[in-house]
Amino acid sequence: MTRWLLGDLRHAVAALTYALQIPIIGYFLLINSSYLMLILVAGSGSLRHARRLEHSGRREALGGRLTPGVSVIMPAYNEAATIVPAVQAMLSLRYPRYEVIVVDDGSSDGTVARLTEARDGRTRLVVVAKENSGKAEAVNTGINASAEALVAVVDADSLLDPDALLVVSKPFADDPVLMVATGGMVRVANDCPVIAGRVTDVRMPSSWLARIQVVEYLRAFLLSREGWSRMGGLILISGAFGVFRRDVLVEVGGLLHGSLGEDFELVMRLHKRLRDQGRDYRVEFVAEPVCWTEVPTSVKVLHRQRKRWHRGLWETLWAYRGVLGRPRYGIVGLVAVPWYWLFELLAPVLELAGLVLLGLGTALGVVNLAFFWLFMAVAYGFGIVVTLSAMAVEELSFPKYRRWRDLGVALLACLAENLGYRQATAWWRAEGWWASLRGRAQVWGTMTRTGFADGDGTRNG
Amino acid sequence: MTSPSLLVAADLGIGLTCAALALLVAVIKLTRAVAASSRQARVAPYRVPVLSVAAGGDEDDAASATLREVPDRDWGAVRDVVVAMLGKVRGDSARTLVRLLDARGEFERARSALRSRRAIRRARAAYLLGLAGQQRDAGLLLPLLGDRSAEVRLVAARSLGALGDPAAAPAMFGALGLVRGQPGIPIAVAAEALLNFGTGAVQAVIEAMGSADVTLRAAATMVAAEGALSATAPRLRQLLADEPDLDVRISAALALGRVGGADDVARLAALTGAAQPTALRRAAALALGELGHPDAVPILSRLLSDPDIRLAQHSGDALVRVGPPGVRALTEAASGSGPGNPAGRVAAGSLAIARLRKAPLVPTEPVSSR
Amino acid sequence: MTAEQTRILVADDDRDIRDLVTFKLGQAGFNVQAVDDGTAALAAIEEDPPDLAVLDVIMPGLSGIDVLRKIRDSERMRGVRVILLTARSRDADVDAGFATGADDYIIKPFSPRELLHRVNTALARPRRPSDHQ
Repeated sequence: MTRWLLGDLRHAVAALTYALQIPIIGYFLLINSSYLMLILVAGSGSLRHARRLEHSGRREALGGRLTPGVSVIMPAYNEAATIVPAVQAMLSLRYPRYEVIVVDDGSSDGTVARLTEARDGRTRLVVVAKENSGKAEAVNTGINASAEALVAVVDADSLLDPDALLVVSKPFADDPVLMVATGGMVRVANDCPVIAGRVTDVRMPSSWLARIQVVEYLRAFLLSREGWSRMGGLILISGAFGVFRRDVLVEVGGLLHGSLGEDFELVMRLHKRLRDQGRDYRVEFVAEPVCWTEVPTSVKVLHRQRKRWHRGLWETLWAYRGVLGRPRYGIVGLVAVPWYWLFELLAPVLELAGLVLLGLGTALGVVNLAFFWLFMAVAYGFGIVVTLSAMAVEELSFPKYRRWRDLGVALLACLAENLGYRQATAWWRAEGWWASLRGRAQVWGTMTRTGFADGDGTRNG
Repeated sequence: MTSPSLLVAADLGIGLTCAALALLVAVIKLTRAVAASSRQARVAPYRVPVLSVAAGGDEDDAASATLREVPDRDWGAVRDVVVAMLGKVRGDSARTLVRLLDARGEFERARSALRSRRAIRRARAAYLLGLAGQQRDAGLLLPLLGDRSAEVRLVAARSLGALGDPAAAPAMFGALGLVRGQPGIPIAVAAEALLNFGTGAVQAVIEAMGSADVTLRAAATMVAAEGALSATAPRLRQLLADEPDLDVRISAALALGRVGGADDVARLAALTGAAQPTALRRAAALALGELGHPDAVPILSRLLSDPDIRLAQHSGDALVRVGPPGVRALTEAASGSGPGNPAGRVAAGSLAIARLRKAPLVPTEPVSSR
Repeated sequence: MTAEQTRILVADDDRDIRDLVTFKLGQAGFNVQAVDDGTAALAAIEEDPPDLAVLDVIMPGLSGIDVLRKIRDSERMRGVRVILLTARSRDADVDAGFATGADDYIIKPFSPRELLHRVNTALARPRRPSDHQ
């Protein structure tokens, strides 16, 4: 009886592999090719940016009297240990006119009390204490308290370079009419010496998990965003460091409470609203590394993070499914959003499917050798090619890792990423998606509102 | 499907590509390191002469001579050091560095590069000429305000500002309008440049305040707000009365604070009314402080208890700037301070900041451009 | 006190400015030490307080104003004269610089000759009284 079942199973798996090998392999060929293309587009942009630094007007902006002011909003929750150096570093940035607004989200560890130590005397520091209700509400409170024309949203654990505001607000100074949002490049700070809230040297982390994330960020988050930005299709600005025009932010209603991917949701909402109104606008990514953050070094925390990210991705994509494929939404609707559906959302599932088929096939002895080699090549090998291309672009435009040892470690990390890390994150991401789907019944109500009625969460200026 | 050997070949191909890319990254890194150290080596013997020339002083003739004689193959690297230094100094030091660059023909090259077909060359050339600060180049930069590249227009505007020739003012205002279908230079860039033109541009500013184009009015009022051009006062009053655009009104209020007189207290006080937009109320409070006239004390004292905290704080700071009558009003308000008296807290805060600012020394550095 | 004995510390993360100030002041006969960040500046001042320090305001590590505050709070270092160097020219900065106890404040781009003049002026003043407020 078992033999007969086994036989059937082998037959089924073999048939499945045969049927699916082209779609799965084709998929990974496509996804990696598109990443590669994004990286090449990004590369030309970064090089362009680097060559123009001298006459870009940065020095003049620093000494200018009319450089647009920035309100830096830092939502904080239980950061008493690190809040003072973080805020002090934020208070001594190279920018002619800005203020720092720390919004305490109901911390229970005395964060607010510590903040009185962080006064500077030069830069205005505003501290708002509120009851705990989440990051989105904290940021919105900060927006309400802000007085400058531009609003920068940073995480309390983001470490900014002294020129960060100059770099990321420059697009607004150069095109104040059209620019509505810019994103900064966030890179890995683990094991980099940090003095008084500033990264003073850049090195590869000592934990392999963090090392792998360094190269992953290069491949998947940083250069692709720059690439999308150059094509006019940037739909995701990291919550760790983004700058927005205050009036537009207020108009669309600030961050959405209850959304898991609130940074993604905000940018999608910006695109949707502005295009609905037929307004001309720009959303850009600035590919100069000026922001640093600690990445998880424990598997448990990483797991939670990736699960949450993917869940947020799904929920926002679903909420804005009305944008999918509609010409009215230009590159965003016709290219960027479909790409995210197909290549960000679906990727973990297809990767897992491929692995499962592979595993089953091997176990049952029917592994299609062709499928095995091709899958390995396009899913992982091609992925390594993409990462290496990203490293080449980074080395050409804004290299930060000085030591040869760091290069060696990065190369090894490229390889190591595919020996379990990618598979694990694929699983976690799929988990996040599944969790969201299962819980969707309760969440549905909120999602409908965001998707169609876009009038919720309004805050007055 | 296809034969296994072909597929293994595909994998090998990927493997080779990976190896090649890894090598590429290493090569890029190596090249960069070698190029950097080679530049260092080229520049090393000349760094001290450059510092010597930049530091000024009377003994720099030997240093200047050395630098004038730098062989062409080394000049590129040395030139970059000199230009970088030029951006960081002013006065005699800057002038000597400029003379050096001139002697090496850098400005001749830049002037002809202004006509280059490549935008980045035009932009770099415009930047250098602005840095050099030689007024006669203003005429060459003017046409670049209408350049087809937005980047070049921006650099040209900044450089014209750096040169400071007020004759460029009308063209600067002109550059705010649409250029070849694209939006003109940003208002703040134009205003910053116009500020550097000083009083010579006041006529153009006044005219722009009456323009039908709101961007011109916005730039003009921004200039007036920062630049304290007293001749603009009548126009500013007109704008406050009938200007539709909020940003222009805000700038006009701030400007009037700087150049207005006792009669303007009532005008500005009216703008602090509760029905006015928040940003305008705040600007009016700041302007009253700038005006510094004691007639404003009653209205500012009332504003200390306004629900808008920023407005209250601006009013407190304004009272300090009015002088003794304002400080008296603040002290009175602060004496009633307690949990139920927000005005008292604001008053106390403004007084505390005022005390902090009574520094032992008066700043001697004038806040001006180079 | 002859110029040769006067010790000056220069702190700026910009190499050109650091070298320029060192050169200019060295040329004038001062004994100049240069560091490239705020933490090193504070350490150097703690170890052996100079007669005057030229500090850039924005530096990696501690900012010039942080360093200034720390030295004014210390009995031992309080007497060090400080000239701040910065690119931010707005009034608030100038006020804050003096409020924390700087002796002078120079805005970049600066004139090296003027810097020397200010250094001499600052050195000519008697050492600060114990209360900087």
